This record gives sequence, C-alpha cells and structure tokens, in this order.
Amino acid sequence: MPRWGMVIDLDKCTGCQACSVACRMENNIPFAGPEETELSRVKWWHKVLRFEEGEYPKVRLTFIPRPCQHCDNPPCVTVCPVGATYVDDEGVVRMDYNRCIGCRFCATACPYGVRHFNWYDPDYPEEVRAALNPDVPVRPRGVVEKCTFCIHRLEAAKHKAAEEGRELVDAELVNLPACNEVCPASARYFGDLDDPESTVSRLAHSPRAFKLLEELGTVPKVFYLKETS
Amino acid sequence: MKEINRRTFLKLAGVSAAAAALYQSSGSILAALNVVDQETPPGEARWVSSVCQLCPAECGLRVRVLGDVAVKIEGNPQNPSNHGRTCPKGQVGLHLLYNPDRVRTPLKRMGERGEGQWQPISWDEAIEAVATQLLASRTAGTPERMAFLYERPVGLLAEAITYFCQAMGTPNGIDMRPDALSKAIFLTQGWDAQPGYDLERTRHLLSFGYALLESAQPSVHLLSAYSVMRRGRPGDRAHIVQIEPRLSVTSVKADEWVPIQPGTEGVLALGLAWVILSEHLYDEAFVTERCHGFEAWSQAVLEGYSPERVASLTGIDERTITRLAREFADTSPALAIGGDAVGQQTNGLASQLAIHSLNALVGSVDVPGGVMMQRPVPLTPWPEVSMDDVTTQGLAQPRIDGPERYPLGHSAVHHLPEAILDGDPYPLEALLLYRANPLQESPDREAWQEALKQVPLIVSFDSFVEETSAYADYILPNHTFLERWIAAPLLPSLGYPVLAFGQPVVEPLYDTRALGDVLIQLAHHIGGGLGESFPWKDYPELLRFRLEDLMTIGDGTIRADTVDAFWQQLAERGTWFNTPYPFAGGDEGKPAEWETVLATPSGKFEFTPQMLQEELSLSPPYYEPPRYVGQEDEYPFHLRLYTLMTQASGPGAANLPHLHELYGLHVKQMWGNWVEINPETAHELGIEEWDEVWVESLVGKIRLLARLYEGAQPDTVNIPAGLGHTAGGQWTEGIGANPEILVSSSYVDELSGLVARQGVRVKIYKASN
Repeated sequence: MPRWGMVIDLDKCTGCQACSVACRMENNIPFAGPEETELSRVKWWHKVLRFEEGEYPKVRLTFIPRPCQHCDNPPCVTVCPVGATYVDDEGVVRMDYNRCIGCRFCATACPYGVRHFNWYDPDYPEEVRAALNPDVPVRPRGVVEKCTFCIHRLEAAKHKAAEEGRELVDAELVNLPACNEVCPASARYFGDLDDPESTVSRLAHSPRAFKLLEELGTVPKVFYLKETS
Repeated sequence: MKEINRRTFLKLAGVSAAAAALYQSSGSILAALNVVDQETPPGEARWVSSVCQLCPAECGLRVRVLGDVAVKIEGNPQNPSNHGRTCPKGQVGLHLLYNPDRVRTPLKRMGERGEGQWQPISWDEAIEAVATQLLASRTAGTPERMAFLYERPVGLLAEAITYFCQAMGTPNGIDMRPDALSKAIFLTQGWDAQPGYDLERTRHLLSFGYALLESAQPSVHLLSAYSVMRRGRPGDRAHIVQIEPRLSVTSVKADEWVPIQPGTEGVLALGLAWVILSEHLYDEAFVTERCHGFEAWSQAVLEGYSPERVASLTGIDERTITRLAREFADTSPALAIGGDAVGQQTNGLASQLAIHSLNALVGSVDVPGGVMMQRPVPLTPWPEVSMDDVTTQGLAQPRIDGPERYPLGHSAVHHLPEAILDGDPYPLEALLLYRANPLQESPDREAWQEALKQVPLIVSFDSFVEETSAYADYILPNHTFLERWIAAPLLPSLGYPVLAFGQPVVEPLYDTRALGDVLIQLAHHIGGGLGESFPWKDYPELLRFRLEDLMTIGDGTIRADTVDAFWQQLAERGTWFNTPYPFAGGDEGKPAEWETVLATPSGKFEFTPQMLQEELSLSPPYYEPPRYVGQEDEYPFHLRLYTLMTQASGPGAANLPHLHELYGLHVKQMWGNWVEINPETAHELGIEEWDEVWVESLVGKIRLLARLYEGAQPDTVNIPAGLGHTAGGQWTEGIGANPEILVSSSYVDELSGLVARQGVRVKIYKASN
C-alpha cells in the first residue's frame, strides 16, 4: 500500500503564497473578510508561516509552507470522541464531516494549527457560487475541516490509472495536489514514501531533510529541505 | 417527498431545518449537508487556454471549464514563461470574472461627474454617442484633441490603441508607465526597450533593488529562475547580492542584503566600477572590441568615484564596496540589474546608466548568463493608416503632455493636468481611458480633478468603476480576460520571442464587449480615413491578419499552411515561441550580428552615449546626487514605496478578497497596508507596534498602521503601494491608505521626465485619537 507524503524544498521556496491561494480555489474555501480576520477566523488549509530572527541589519526571515502534516501518529485522531477523523490505510488523515460534532478537540490537539472550525455556513458571493469546484464538497457550519492532500485528485488519478490498466506513476503524483501544481519555484513534491524510487522518498533521505516539531512524536509525513547558503 | 426514517433522522440530527428540507426534496444526504446548493455543471471538463491580465507578466493559463462555468485556473504547461504555474494573483482570476462589482452594461453618466449616478444604455447608443463626439473633432480639423491613456498589460491591444490614435489623427496615445531603464539601454545599446536577463545561467546577480521575488515581471518566470539559480545547477549555485533600502523578500532570499540610502544606487555602481577599473578586473576583449568611449568614461570614474568617496555618499563602507566589486568581476557570467525604483529618482536615468555599464565592463552583454535583447514576435506589421489632410495635420501636432521637453522623455503624464487647464498646446476635447487611473496612481490629484472637469468627453473602457472612471461620461465596459481573445507578446525576459494566446473561456456573463471589437466599431462608425484603416470586422479578424506573417515565416513551435490551421493550433496550445536566443557573443544556433544588439551610432556599447556627449554636452559618468522631496531637518525619513507579490494591477485588482487575506506575509498583515518602521527609530518617536500614525510629506499626509520591522533601516520607512482606494468595489474601498498622495510631481529626472516617486522624504508622528 502506498504511504502518501510530501517534501517541500525551502531553498527553492520564495514565500510567494501561490500554494495557499491555489488550495483555497481548489477546495472552495471562502474568504473571511476583514472583521472575521480580526477575530482570527480566517481559514487557510495551507498557510505559509513566517519566522523572524535577529535585529537590523542582521535579520533573517524564514518562510515555511505548511499543509496538514498527515501524521502517522496524529494527536487529532487520538482525541476525537466520535471517530470523525481517522488515518486511512494509505496514511491520509481524513475527515468524516457527517460524524463531526464540532467539539474542536482535534483543532486544539493539533500542534501545527492546521484544523479550522466552521463558525458559520460558508458565505460565498452569489457570483462566485457558480464557480465552485464540483469535485470538493462545501462544508457546513459546525464541522472542522483541513487539508486533505487533495484526496479528490488522488482518487481521480487512481480511477484513471485503473481505467488504463496500470499503476500510478511517480511523475503524475509529484505535482498532484493543487499546492504542488501551482508552485512557480517547483519547490514541492508529493508521492509514495514507501516506494524507494519515488521522488519524495529520495528527497526525504536528503541530509537537508527535517520535519516540524518532530520531538512531539506526531511522525508527520511532510518533509522540509532546509535552505543552504 | 422522501420520508425521513429514524436512521436518516439521526444522520440529520443537529443539522438545520433547511438541511432537513433539502433532504426531503432531493433525497440525498450529501445535498442536505451541503447548505450551499452546489450544482455540478453538466458535461465533461475541458481545458481552455487563456492569458492572465492581473499583472504585466501575462502568463499563459489553462482554465477548467464545465458546461459554461470556469471552475479552476492552472498555468499553461506549454508557455515557457510560466511553464504550467501561476503566482497567487493568477490563481484568483476567476474572482475577477465572477465578481459582484463588475460593470455589467454600458453606462451613461447622469447628474454631476463623480456623483455615481449612471444610466444603463445599449451598446448602439454608447458607440453612437462616443463616435459622434470623436467625429466632431475630426470634422473640425482638430483630431489631436483626443488623448487615450492606457497602462500595461494590454498585449497587442496597446498596439491597437496606438494604431487607433494614429488613424484618428492624434499623437496622444499615452502609456501611463514609462521607465528609465529602457532609456539607459537606448543610450548604450541603441534600442529603446527593457532588456531580458539570462538569469538561469548567470552565476552572480548584483541586484540594485531589482524586485526579483516580488514585483518584477514576468513574476512566475523570475520565481522559477530563482529556483534554478539555487538548485537547478548542482554544484554551481548562483550568488545573489541584493542592494536595496529595505529587507524585501528578495533581500531575505539573497545571499547578502546591503542596505543603501535611496537614490545612491548609481553612485555605488560607479564606486564598484572604480575598483574593477583600478584592479584591472574588466573584460579587456569586450571593452576593446565592442565598446565606445571606454577611456573617457573610465578616466572620469577613476577621478571621481573612489570607494572612500562613495562610502560617504551611500553609507556602505569601503571594504564592502571593494569586496562586492571583486566578487562581481571575478565570477562569470555576472549580471548587474537596476530595479524600477532606481529609475524613479531625480538621478534615475544616470543611475541606470551606471548600473548597466557594469554589465559592459565585465562583458555580460549578449552572452549566456548576461543581458539579452527581447526579440519581437514576427507578426504582420500594422498597415499604414489611411492618411487624409485631417489625419496628417493632427499627427503633426505636438504631444499634449510634452514629453519632448525632456531629452529622453517617453511620456510626461504629470504635465497633463496643467496642459489641460491651460489649454496648452491645445485644449483637450476627449479623454479615453483604459486601465489608467491617474486619480489613484498619479500625484496631484486635486489638479487632475480640476483638469478632468475641463474635458468635454471622458470615456472609460474599464470593467470596474474606479476613481478616474467614476468621472467618466460613458463607461463602455471591456470583457474580463477570461471572456475575450488575447494575444500577448512576452515582455522583456527570456530573450527569445514568445506569444501567449487566449480565447474566451466562457460566454460573456454580462452585456460587456471586448475593447478590441469596440475600437473597430468606433472606427467604422466614425468612418473616413479612420474607418478605412480598420478593414477588419472584429478583433479576431484583426488578430488573424497579424498572425499571417507568423504563419508564413514557418518558424517556431507551430507550423501550418493556412492561418486557420495556425490559429487552431495556437488556440489549442495557448502559445507560440521560437528558441534558442541567438546570443551575439555565444555559439548556440545562429549567433546574431553585433550590430543588431549594439544598434548605436558607433555600432558599439557606448559608455559615453553620443546623445549625452554631443547634444546635451554632458560629461561622463553623467551622475548627479539625488534631490529629495523635502528637507531632512523637517522630513527626517526616506520613503520607500514597494509592491507586493499579492498586489494585482488593473481595474478590479483590489477587489479580490483572497489576495487581501494573504497580503503582507513578511509582517503578517492582512486586509490593508502599513508603514514599516525600524523598531529603535519607532521607540525614539514614541511609537509602538499597532499604533496609528501619520506619514506626512511636503505635499500630503496619510494615516496608517505602524508595524515595527527589523528589515527597515533606521532612517527609511517603507509602505506597500496599491491600496487606499476610494472606489472600485465592496472589498476595495476603505482598505488601506494610498501612499501616492505623498509623491510630488515637481521633482522629476530632467533627462527622462520620470517623477521622482522614490525620492520622497517624510515625517512620522502618532495619530492622536
């Protein structure tokens, strides 16, 4: 069985944030507006984090694109009282919106802050409603949502491969999620971590590779390649 | 009506009554839980080529369409500029199309200008009204009294607008955004355009504020080139030095950030040249064989621009100057690039000259890894316009903005209000606007407002009503880019010619019309020589005509025997291009003749451009110190204006909520702009993070959020430009403040005519309430 993971090369990333917007457009995530943004209710399934160190003139900024980490040992799954979130047999941490009761234990437990609660039903401008992506359901108020590794695209790729009587190939997986497909710097890779020949597998073994908050034991499946000089 | 059994009830428990009702009518749980009635448009998905117009890059797009609905934008993998990717702006293109605040029909002004009272009218009425007035100018023998202001990106439409003006008999087709770099290239290399840069093969980038990772164009290409420079050549990583007044994203990702006083980039370049000359690190062969005036120029540099002197003028110490020069000259190939901001000072053109001279010093002209001349797409040339007496007479008139008062002037838009108010050189009778918003983007808005009142006819072709189009008499709304045919030659970057091509992705949503078609219809309605000059029935037919030569030449990525076949392939692929770039100093393909890329009077790179020496009697290296707007004692801080990656341009660009919600990553600020202040400086001023402050210059003041930023120099404050609209849509108005208010048009570069937008000094103080 494949074990899906991602690699993001911070040496190539320029912090342009195309990934965050592509995710929004692909997954029908509504914008919050200025007032809701003030209340920290802005929803980014994918967000570019920014860290700052030092003082003028020796200042360093670091940009870290952060999707859901699709941990192998996810704290969100442990705490969910109703089994609305689970790790599937290919390592994707999934949401079952039907079961979610909106308690938000998962959002609290996640150390990466990737989960968002729907305080309201999504309010799209009428004109935009026509242009929603039909491959991704719209979530109602009362449920938590997060990055799915574009599971709908993965399913579509599997269907296509099955129709053509073949296995999935690495080349069609590397840019599969919307965030990867858009990246102007080609800094992102997706694929099967259990396939030693895959791009993500090789890059995950790079000496530059590290993971976020590894010490917490979440076993995230997103690897970062650090910037070099 | 579907019955609700117990199981279903439990599934729906806790969901709203509306959902229950939806379940009853549709029978689907998923539909019930989808509180938005999410209909799947019918049919198979198809992908249609388009061209983004949210910034001058004009990247190639592929749009996923279901039925008649566009549901996702991706980059066009076949376009070599953006190779299948988009920047954050391109991703929200759908929200420009599906936007509640678009103009949906032609509009006629009711009430006073600026009151916002509009009456929808038919296209027949609109064309008739505008054509009648333009015809009157022609009949009166004064066609020059019409001006058409436009701004990039407009693809071939910019050429169509210029052609329309010529056929009308007016010289006043005016580009709102001239630049200084193209003039520096004209003086040294003999062609008037920005150059391309072979970044992917350069090994050292010496950037003087070139916004490689923010607002330089074409964005996606540059972001990708950065990636190649860092990791695309294993074992041969490029080195990047960013010399600029603030810590930008480019400074963050560069190997070294060199903070510099704004306006002194040119003198630094001369200091670096001093080291290269005195240590004999220059490319002797190139300088001897391909350059003119090297002796005179180098003598002047050695006499006047020692590192010691330059250190005192720039705030950068001598050792750094020496080191930077050596690193640049010792690495080959190397590139020196001056960003747009360098040209927006009173010494802008001279500064760009100094920086570009560094490229010649190290032989980086028309070689791999160096400067290139962007080759045009070989389209059919425009025909000669049909000249009658009226047209001839009109075209002989001077341009209304008087750019010729500057030796290297291209447009002098800041003179337009005074020209209109004085009726000098002649009164303006009609002002046509496309993507031009001087009331928002130009200095002297009060003068502009007064001037606009004097113009009898103002017509806007924009798809959103913004500040200037609010003053129009008629709005003839263009389609958004997803609804029309677009042909866009690539702006200077890759060097080899690229044409991006887009077709309508969906049927027009509203009663709008493509500007290309409207120009033709106006021309036909006005008739006479103007009508004859447009023998095409619509814009696609005009494009077909332009593509004929491209088809006939039979070169590049599309080969076909008929224009129809060529068109079909072009529409399908969304792009045509032709590689490789024929470096004059390289050995790939067929190298170009040096006379092509060095088209000066001497046929060489001119360190001492003949125009400056002979016509203007200037002495090398032509540099003078910057003049700032405001005295230091009263206005202690330099003001740096910059543009974020998340800032789109054109009508509706500020009405895209997703971009507002990303806006400023480096300071984590959304939905509005701010002023970046060095924390120690802020402390001295008694200003804390999140305070509201006034930023005041000699000519205006704005109120902004103060953000303390370690990437700000102690004596320079930075403000992102593009927000602070008072019109344009529900997500545009009232978001942020407009820093263009702080700019004065009285301070210009006397050579190029460019306003010294980056030469403003300001004072900062806390707002009292």
